[in-house]
Amino acid sequence: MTEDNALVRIQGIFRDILDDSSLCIDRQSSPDTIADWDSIVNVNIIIAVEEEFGVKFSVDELQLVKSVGNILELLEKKI
Amino acid sequence: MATSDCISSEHAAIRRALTSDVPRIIEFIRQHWRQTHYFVNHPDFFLYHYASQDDRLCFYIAENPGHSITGILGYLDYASGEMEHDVILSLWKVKNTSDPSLGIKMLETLKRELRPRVLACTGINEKTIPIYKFLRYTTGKMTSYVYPNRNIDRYKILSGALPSAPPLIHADVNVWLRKIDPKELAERYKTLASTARPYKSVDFIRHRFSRHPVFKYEFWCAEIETASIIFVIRRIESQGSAIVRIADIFGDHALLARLSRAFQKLLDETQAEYLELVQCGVADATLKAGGFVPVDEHADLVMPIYFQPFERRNIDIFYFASHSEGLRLFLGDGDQDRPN
Repeated sequence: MTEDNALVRIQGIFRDILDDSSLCIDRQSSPDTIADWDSIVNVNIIIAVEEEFGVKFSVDELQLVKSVGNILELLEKKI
Repeated sequence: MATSDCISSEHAAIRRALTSDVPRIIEFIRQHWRQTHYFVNHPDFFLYHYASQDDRLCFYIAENPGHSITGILGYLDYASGEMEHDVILSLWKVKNTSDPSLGIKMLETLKRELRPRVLACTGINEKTIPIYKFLRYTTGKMTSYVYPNRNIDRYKILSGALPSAPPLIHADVNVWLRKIDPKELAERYKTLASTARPYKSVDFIRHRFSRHPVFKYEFWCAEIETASIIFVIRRIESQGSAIVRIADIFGDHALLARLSRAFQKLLDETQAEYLELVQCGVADATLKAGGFVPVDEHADLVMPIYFQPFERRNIDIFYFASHSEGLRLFLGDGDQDRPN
């Protein structure tokens, strides 16, 4: 799986959860650039990423997530 | 002055709050929770709720590098100082910051420092349930029951059609509830063998119910053979009428099935429309046998539980808990039964 492919799939998750079909994300996307990315959205994204990629994240790993880049880094270690 | 460990992250430092932090915490509640929150105008009540035996509060705060508060997490320690103690969260709020896990970091700090046996919270926002599921906690909705006073013709608070009264096949004829004072409560409570969780110490019960600065709680006891049960109740007047809230129950919950006559007598004596019971953990069959009616099972039945101000609607109270075995939660747990 390439990073671009993972990013497209994660973008789909963000679009579904934030109900914004035009949302575009990159590695630098974070709660600072996506206003609706709060604590509840964050957990819903992580749960959706778990389901989409067939992986599991721990509470410690969840706490590392502050950007899309962090999600990709966690995924790289598991796939 | 006692100090607290300080957990630093890139954006926030998390620590136990001190009494000197109270004005800033109250201001955070005013700005980020609700301007009319009871604590905002009653800081003394905040201290009643969260003060501990030293300068530290039962409260965590997160601060950014500029020392402004970005998150708060209050809790009630049900058996402070005991080896096995259970903790109920109360008032958990974080600002939207660049760290979407700040709230979870605060919770993890609390767990690491306090090491509670059971961690739970009543009154959680339904939208936050995915967070608790991710943390592998049990979540659910507390169940509302009403025990209606069958000796009155017209209800002013309760509305909707009630089912007919069940036959009193389980009710004991000569068993009644007896009001006891806080001293007897403390003595009796120590003899109760209960596996219910969370466990409350006598000191906590004394503080929470006997010494409440606003509400007047009463303790009523019933005994059947060697088993006994204690109810913590509060009479609430509203709409030119009154109800009796069961805020907590200690002892053998199985006795609930046998006290229907005693409940009716209590309602007659207190001149109340009904007993209100919002709970999790007591078997539905036990409560039905005792004459309690599950509100959710009757489509047009409305049992208000908000009285300040009065709201004529049913309210869903959600909870989470780290353990499901033996879990018993009532409206008096956490901060659900507090002035508004």
